[in-house]
Amino acid sequence: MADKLSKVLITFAGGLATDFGPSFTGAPQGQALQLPFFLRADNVLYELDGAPRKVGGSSIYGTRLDESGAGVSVQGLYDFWLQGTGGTETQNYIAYAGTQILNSTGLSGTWAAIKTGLESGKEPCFETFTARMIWASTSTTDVPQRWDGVAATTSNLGASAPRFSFMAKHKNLLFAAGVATLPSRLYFSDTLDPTVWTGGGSGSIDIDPDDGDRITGIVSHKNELIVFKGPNRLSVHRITGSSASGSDAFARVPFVTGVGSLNQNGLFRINDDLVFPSPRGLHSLAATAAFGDYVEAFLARPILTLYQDQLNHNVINTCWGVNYQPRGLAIWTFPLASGTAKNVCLVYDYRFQPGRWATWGLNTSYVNANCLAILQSTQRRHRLFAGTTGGYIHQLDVSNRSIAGGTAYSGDVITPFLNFGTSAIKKNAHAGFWSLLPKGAYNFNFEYTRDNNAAQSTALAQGGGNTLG
Amino acid sequence: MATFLLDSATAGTLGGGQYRTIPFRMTGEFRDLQLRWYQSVANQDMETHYLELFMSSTGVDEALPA
Repeated sequence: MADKLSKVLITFAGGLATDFGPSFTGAPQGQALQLPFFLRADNVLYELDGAPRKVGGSSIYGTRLDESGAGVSVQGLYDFWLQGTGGTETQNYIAYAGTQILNSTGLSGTWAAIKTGLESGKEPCFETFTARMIWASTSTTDVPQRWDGVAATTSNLGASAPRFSFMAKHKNLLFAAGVATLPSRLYFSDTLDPTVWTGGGSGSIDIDPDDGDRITGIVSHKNELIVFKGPNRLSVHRITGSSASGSDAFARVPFVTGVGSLNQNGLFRINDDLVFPSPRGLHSLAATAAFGDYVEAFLARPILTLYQDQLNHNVINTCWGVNYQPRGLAIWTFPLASGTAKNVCLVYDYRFQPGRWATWGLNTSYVNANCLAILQSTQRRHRLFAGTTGGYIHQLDVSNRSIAGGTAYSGDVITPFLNFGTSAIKKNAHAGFWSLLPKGAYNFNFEYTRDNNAAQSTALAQGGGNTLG
Repeated sequence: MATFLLDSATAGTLGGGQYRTIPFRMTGEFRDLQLRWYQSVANQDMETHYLELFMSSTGVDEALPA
């Protein structure tokens, strides 16, 4: 004989976790069940009460970037600002696409080549230093470039500049690495002069040469330069000091082995922390005390199987990551194992402790983000952008819920199986009540699956009536 | 019913109408229950905050192996 009806209020207390198993056996406490994880959270963001919401769609910036009438792969995007001396800033979007570096001034939507004849398909790096946009790539033939925002074309960075792949400014010097012939050498330029790499205050530091790895990333962080090596044995090193010689000379402090970054473009800062991709997963390097020591944390623990088994590790070192601060998200774009196109974003909401994961494009397509960047858009808002292999530049997370103004995608959430405290007792489902913020006079779909039965589906009108439908 | 609007990131306004609770019927016995919800239509949004389920207990499952 059936008991009286009991109520369970389900709230959302976790993000995507592929590695916690298919079920959650928690019993409601005070008629409330806090769901600690989802088995699927695709194309969603989280509200601060944990509610999943369909992520915004995309709109296209400017025209398609073409060469010989065909769209070319957008390999990198950058927001280049100049302060000048007249109190008026200037802004240029920079793109490395196909064989060219292009600029788009003042959000004009039009692009002009400032460098042609480059190798295509390489991984670029951008930096602003001494009123110049500096560009380098993983090409072993192209040399680093500089652009002052005025000249019709870029110039070679300097005759003494090594052919590096990535760089970071630190203590009025430009540090660089990724030279194919000397893969463990860290270079630094003369003080406030990135065109000079011999003499003056310039120099180099060898970081464990011939240890089976190369320098894969560098970043200035908390008065030190953090140097990552990989992709095999993996290590992290700290460069202390302020100059090539003297009482505060540069010194290398080995920090940890067994973890390191895959590349430069997946390495970035969130809050007071550095986050980076390794062959094992996604990590953070949190400073435990001011300039004292660091502790490495494994952000990707709940989705480790996804990271290990569903991504294409042959090209995982081409990933890009950004700190999308307006949403509190760390976002990386990766290729799924079935191909080389970067078609899934792993999204970490660091507003929560611990952070909550979601995916974009895992179960149904979103935007294939070949590269990611945060660019200031209209009204000086920092927006999320992606370049595609087809020559398009998308602004992501826009108000419309469609890709480029028309293509559908699916916000999709699946819970683990719930037994409400026991699987031995059979329950009889009677009714449910979804509490939501209606977004339009249209439906969303709700399914429930009882044991091994087929899912039962119902379409619920967001502006629904007040009686059981 | 009021006209619905999508969020406007430009205007910094939230779209949607009045926060509301939508009832629906469920049927069938279960020991374990999995839930899924999704929105797959172009330019249609979804923001679900919590769910209340009403169920009754029918006792220990007697369909036990012999």
